[in-house]
Amino acid sequence: MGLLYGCALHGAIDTLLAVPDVIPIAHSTAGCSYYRAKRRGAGAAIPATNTQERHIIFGGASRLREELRNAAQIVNGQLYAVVSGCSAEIVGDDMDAMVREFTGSGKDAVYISAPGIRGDASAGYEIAVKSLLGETWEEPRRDGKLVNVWGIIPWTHCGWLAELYALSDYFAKIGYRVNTLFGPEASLDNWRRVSSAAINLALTRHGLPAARYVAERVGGEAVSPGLFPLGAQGEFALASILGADTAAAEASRRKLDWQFAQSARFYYERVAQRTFSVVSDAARALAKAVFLTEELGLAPQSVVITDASEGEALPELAEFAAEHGARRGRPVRLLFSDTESEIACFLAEHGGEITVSDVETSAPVLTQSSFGAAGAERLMEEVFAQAAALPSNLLVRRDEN
Amino acid sequence: MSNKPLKIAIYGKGGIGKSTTTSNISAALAEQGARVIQIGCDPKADSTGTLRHGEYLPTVLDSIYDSSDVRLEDISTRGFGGVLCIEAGGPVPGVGCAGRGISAAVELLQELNVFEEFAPDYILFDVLGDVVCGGFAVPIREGITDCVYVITSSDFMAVYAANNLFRAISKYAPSGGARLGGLIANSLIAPYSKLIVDDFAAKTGSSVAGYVPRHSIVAQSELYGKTVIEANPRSPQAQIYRDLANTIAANTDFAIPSPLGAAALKDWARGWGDQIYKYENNLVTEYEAI
Repeated sequence: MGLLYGCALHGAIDTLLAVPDVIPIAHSTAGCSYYRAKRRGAGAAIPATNTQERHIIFGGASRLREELRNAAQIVNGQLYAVVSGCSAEIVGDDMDAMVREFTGSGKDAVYISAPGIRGDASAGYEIAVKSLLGETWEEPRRDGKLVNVWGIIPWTHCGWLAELYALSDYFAKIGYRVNTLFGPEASLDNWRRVSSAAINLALTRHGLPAARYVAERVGGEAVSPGLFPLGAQGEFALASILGADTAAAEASRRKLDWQFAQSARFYYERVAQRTFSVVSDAARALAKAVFLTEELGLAPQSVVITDASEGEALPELAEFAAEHGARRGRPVRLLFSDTESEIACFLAEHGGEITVSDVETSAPVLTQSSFGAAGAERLMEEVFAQAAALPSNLLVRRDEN
Repeated sequence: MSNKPLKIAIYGKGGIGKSTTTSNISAALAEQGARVIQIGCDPKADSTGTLRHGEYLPTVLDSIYDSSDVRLEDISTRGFGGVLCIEAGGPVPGVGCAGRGISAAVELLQELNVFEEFAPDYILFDVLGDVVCGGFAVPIREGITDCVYVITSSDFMAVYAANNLFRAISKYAPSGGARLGGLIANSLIAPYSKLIVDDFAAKTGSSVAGYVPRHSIVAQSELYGKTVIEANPRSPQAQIYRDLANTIAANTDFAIPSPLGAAALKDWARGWGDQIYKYENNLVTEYEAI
């Protein structure tokens, strides 16, 4: 993960901000908080200590004490989470002591050590999740139908909330309940129920540490669909993990097949066998590439991964590229980057006829879920719209004769 | 004396006698009529104590903390022989970042034009212990000082610290950092102490600027809150400091030292251990010089 998603501090703050009962307080220099807010747009303002040079030299603990007191007067919350940036951690401010002092005044607070030097936004997500779990953990009352969903890092994907809602709806259809941990319906009460959920589902690789952590503590199992559950196939995969009814997935399959059949003429004329490129984070990029290749019959030209570096082991992606590269007799090009200009240059050279990319904008994206049948429908719409602008497959071009 | 002051940094292991030696060098130079600034770069803020009879002096960093408008007269005082005494200061132990403090203090002194306005002949930076982080290396970086003197005794830990400082000097010197003026051998007691420091200097391509034997007159002068130069000006020890000051003032031969690697330093120390064992047990053989 790179600049697009920020550092561990940003991942932790975004994670905490997605739990309405929690008030994150950044103990960091102004830039650390500003960068986050800039990336997210307005509405992302949080209390911050705005650390200055004198707080570095003489320690920033008293400044933090002041900010905690001020924040508690201005912002109502059940839990104040002090999230430390690099400067405070390098200097070694005693944030534990400040938090203890604050809790002595009757408010709940927690110190979360998430300096950017600890890693990227996914590291911050893991740190924040584990810290919240430490604050809310309760003796499990086993609920066999309750599911904790991990690995969708708030605000690191434009469709994160839409995805969580879509998952909730789908689990309800198959007789399960998602324990809502992020978004407007989330609460610390739900976090207290984490230990009771029978299932800890890691939807992406970023959710594996949290899922395993909870599963180990309650003696349960962390499960993962492997491939991000896009399309009817994704719905089947989730149902089969849980041993749940597949009627909903079958209905989705029928709907998608029917819609596809209605578009058959357009499909053969404009879409079939087009080359394509995908730009997204590793989980969604691979799911989309697999769907476009195996279900829609397109040919993968290149994949751009925005949340991983080249050194990170992504065996499923490597396997996909190798298999389809061999099948086509030309390599499926991979780029690991979240830099806009770099991606644009790469696509100019290696882009397919159709390019499917996630919208990254500070404007709100409310419905862009990649999950399940709805995710597949959106993807098909996008592909069909781009294909409409391409020359017909049926035209026999004179110059080719 | 040219208009350009000689800027000297003095480093060494904690407790080795940096402040005592630096203050006596400053006093010896001032005694001869030179204009001297001594800047203590240590959160303890006790470098210039013996030059100003232990009187209270607000530190640069305390002033930065209290006010954004800091003036030179707030953070300096004239000590023995007119030496301008400045203490960088820093946080209380266990809090904050003293290294960043040194950087900030040096920056402020540059902003205040102290070095131009006071027009010193010599500026001495007396810097805390070993180079514990980048902040403490600021005085030897980017032209802030011309040369570094490293104080050591013949104890292995002091030599070890000196070798580490050589590493810092050899890292920064090629890109405009200060070069090594030499070692100052301090607190010499045993007859072989001088030989150990000499040998270390030879092995690392450095030289020894002066030898200061351990003497009770140093401690006694300090107890009176004075340098040896001031308290016991006619003592042989005062003359030793004067000679050292003159050597430093005249020295223009600055070098980039070649610090020993970890294994080489260990072997070197072991070799001296063997020799001292033989010496203490009268096992020195014919033709073997020690």
